Amino acid sequence: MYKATIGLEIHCEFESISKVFSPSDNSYTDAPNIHVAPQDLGFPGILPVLNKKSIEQALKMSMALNCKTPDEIVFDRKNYYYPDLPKGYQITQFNKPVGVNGYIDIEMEDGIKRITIQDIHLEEDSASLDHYDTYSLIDYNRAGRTLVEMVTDPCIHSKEEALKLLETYRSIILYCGVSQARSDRGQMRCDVNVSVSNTDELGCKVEMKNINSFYNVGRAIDYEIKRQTEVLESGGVVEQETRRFDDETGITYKMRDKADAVDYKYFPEPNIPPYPVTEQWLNEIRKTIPMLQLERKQKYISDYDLSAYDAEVLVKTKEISDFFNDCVKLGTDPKKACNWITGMLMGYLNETDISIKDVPITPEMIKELVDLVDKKTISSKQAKEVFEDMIESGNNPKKIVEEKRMMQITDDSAIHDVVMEVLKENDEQARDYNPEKTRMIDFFVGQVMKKTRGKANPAKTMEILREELPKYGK
Amino acid sequence: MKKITKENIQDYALKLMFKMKEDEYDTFEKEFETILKHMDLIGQIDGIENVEPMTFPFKKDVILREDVVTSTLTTEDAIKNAKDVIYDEVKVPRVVGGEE
Repeated sequence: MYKATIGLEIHCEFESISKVFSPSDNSYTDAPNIHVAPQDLGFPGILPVLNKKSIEQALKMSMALNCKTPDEIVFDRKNYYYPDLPKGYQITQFNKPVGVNGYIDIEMEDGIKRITIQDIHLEEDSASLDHYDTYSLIDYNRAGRTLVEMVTDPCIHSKEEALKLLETYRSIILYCGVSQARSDRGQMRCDVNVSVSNTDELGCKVEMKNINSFYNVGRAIDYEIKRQTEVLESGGVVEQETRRFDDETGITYKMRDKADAVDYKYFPEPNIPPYPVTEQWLNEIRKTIPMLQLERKQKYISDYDLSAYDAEVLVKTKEISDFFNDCVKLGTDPKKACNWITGMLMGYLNETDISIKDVPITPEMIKELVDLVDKKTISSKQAKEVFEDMIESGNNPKKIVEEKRMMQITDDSAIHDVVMEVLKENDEQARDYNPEKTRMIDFFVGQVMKKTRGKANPAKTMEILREELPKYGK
Repeated sequence: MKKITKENIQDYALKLMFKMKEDEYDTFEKEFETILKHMDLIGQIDGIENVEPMTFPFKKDVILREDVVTSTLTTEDAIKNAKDVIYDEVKVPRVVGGEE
């Protein structure tokens, strides 16, 4: 039985106003070569100056991934020659990354699995290349952008685990607010190492570089496991090499073998002296790490008794989860808050493809709405109408209920009066009342509703009718 | 002691895209031998494995930059030195494959 072993190297561009070593704009743009400073082009005499925010973001992620942080920030040069790298080297971290020996817990169907992390390091991105038939074009906007690379141990054993790790890592990035991690903008890219073996020893590792979507990571892993297993089963030897995954065919091609491996000649970056990392600084950064997705999900299930499904839906984005937390903090019953959020609210957000930040609904309004139903001021059917109004107008529920004169009549004597009126008006039917015929009582409830324009509390109405009907005319 | 052979140097020259004369290889080979002898001597010092390599001779206060955009070149300036430009991008011979 062959077993696959997978390790991932995940790159993510972090979002800050300026780039990591240069003061040019770090934001994404489609217009080429507009966010470029001399540092990004490797002009003579340039000096990199570290962006404080980038280091803080990298340390934040390092701690969120349970890594050991260094006593100082230092950088190294990784030397290679390629048109996307104007300086001829990339400033990166080799000897002392911002984090080592961390882990991410991922939730698989059969329970939690811990993926250990070798390191996470801060570096600069390269320029982007577009390839055409006879030439290539270089856009330097991406050169020098803040890039953080996370490297897992080879401890992943299936495509499912690899994809779950990617998803979970992305959620941590989003929860920490360091990037939108959009793969359609190339913000998240992945190198995948796959080996296959039928003994306890690891097989020969094959690396696939720069895979641009989670979907393609899955395809590349499938293909490599199959290819390597076939090679081994036919008595062949898998060679250590770098392969390119072609997303059109779903096939990997040999790029270079071990003998051609690039020697990056790493050495300490002489232009950036070490910067001390104090315990106080780390504590300040640590305070900005929110409770993460998996932990929130577990809390929702254990503390609020929500179903795993509902909890999963709520924690999908931090914005929704924060909104839910705020509702609960205000004293709203968690299950009721959950129903409104996962049902009506998220339904609306999905339908209109907008974010929760763009709708005028606040946790206070949800609380008010739930209270109105709890106090039977409005029925749950009416509450839906109020919600629809609320999401369009931004008015609070009480105001809507007043304006629409929706208040239910819960006053017993008022309902009693209407019930008696209805019975008199339908004298014959009322006299014929037979408790076996449930339709009959529904007819009377309907009449009461008609008279009160739906404001009579249905449960109360039913109760009074059950009491009055058998006595009527006797 | 580790030895750097002529074959090693030829390999480095190829990777670094240098072209050297035959006698230059000989010179390099001799120079590397001397350098490695020095390293070997240093390696014999007691407790050397506990000494952290010095990369910065001076303790200097490093100043971090606040996260603001202060200077960006205009596109015109950025691509001024390029030999060939299409749609504000720099045109180079087709390269595929080696990206990191």
